[in-house]
Amino acid sequence: MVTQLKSWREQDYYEILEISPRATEEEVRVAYEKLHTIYTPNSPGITVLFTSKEVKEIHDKIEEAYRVLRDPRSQRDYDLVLRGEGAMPPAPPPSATVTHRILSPKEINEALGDAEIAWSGEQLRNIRKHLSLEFDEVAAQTKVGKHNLKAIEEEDIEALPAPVYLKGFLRTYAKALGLDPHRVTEDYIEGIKGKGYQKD
Amino acid sequence: MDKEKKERYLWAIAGGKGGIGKSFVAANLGIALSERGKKVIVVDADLGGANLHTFLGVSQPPMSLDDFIREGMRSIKGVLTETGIPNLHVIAGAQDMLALSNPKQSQTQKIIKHICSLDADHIIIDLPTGMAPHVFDFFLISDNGILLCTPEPTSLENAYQFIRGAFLHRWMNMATNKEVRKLIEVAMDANNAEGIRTPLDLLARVDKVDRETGKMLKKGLQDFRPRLILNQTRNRKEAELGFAVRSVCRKYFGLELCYLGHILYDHNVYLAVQREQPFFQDYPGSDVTECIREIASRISDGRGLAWSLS
Repeated sequence: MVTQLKSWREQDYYEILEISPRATEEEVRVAYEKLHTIYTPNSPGITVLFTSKEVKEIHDKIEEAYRVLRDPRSQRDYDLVLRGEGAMPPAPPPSATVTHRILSPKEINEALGDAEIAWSGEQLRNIRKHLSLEFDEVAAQTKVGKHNLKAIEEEDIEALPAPVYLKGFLRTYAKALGLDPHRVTEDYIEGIKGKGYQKD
Repeated sequence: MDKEKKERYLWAIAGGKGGIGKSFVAANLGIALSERGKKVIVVDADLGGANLHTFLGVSQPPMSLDDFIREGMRSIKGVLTETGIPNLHVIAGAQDMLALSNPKQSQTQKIIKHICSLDADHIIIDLPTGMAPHVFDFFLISDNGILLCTPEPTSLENAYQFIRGAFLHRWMNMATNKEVRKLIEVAMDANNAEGIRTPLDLLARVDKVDRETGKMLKKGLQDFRPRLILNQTRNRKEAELGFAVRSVCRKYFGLELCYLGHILYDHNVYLAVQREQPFFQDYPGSDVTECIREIASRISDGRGLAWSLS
């Protein structure tokens, strides 16, 4: 990216999400998740320059940009608008699926009594229950089998799959719960290593 | 494969606030780059408060910038001091030279010109604290200024003020239209009565006065891409603040800032500084050393972090 000297009020959706128009689906999602966390009230480093009203407006614009760019059809329509070949499409409504929710530290704190924790099976279960989600629902959306989700929550060393699969399942499950997939995977693997998980 | 380009790079390290580890980072980044087989020179431009050489284990440099300026030496090469570390030289700063803590522009330009003529793969310049004109002159020598800050709110605030100051300083150097220069002067006071809050507000005002100058100012900053290093981070959350700072720069200034990485807090840094020993030699396998090596590797191949710390 180069310095464009445009303020957030003038930026297009790609600039708002700080991604290239050629960004992959995963890059769009990662940028959205990070920005979603950054532009929250009292977020350090933000309120020095932005008022709380501006933070809220930027936050809303990030949401809007993500809703348009995560959907290939609305993204295509939007690209036409940018090229001056189409009318501005309405942003798709917020997704009802759990996979697009991001939990704030406050929500995590409410669910677990602490926001700064090392992720374990028990805490994933607590978050799932806090969100009132059933295994069936999560399994249907994530395509991770119910038995695997159960083994993850119970930290059932015998039933857990090989590391390469487990890491993928953990990332998917963490995303479905609105958690940082990287951190959850790292903490979880570290935790079960101490319980004898060695399926290398 | 070594992706490093064969060009020479100038890295001016600035920080709006004192005591955030600027000289420590300049010295140890120099060591990390020299470990990669690069020819490196670190220059102490902290005129008046020079101590960079002590971070490299050099107690009494035979020559310094003071000799270069005062003795009217023809070449700055004469004040290069060996550090005992392969591939790494230092140019010590002018000590006890209060008169030089605010050098004339002609002196600054002379130093800059000679620094630019040095033969090295990487030249790292340790800048003075604060926002004096000569600090911006050094910072803006190339588009590769590195801004250092710590995770404290006051340090972040200083970093943003520094970026704002760098914008305005560069524009002041470019603009010739009297009315535009006056506007820039007004904008330098962050609480000005004209309501010019950001450099982008200023640009909009300049456009109204003289569209051509507005275009020129905008163009003059397109390649301005400062780097950011967060020092003394204590956990992942603090290290991730770098992404927030980068995002604020993009959204507030419309500026592309490159986040090079963070350096963990370690009390041993303080101990090494007290002993006047290079940290890399005393703690070669520490987390801090590893952080600096990672930053050196990103500097070498010209990349920043995406959205993850590693």
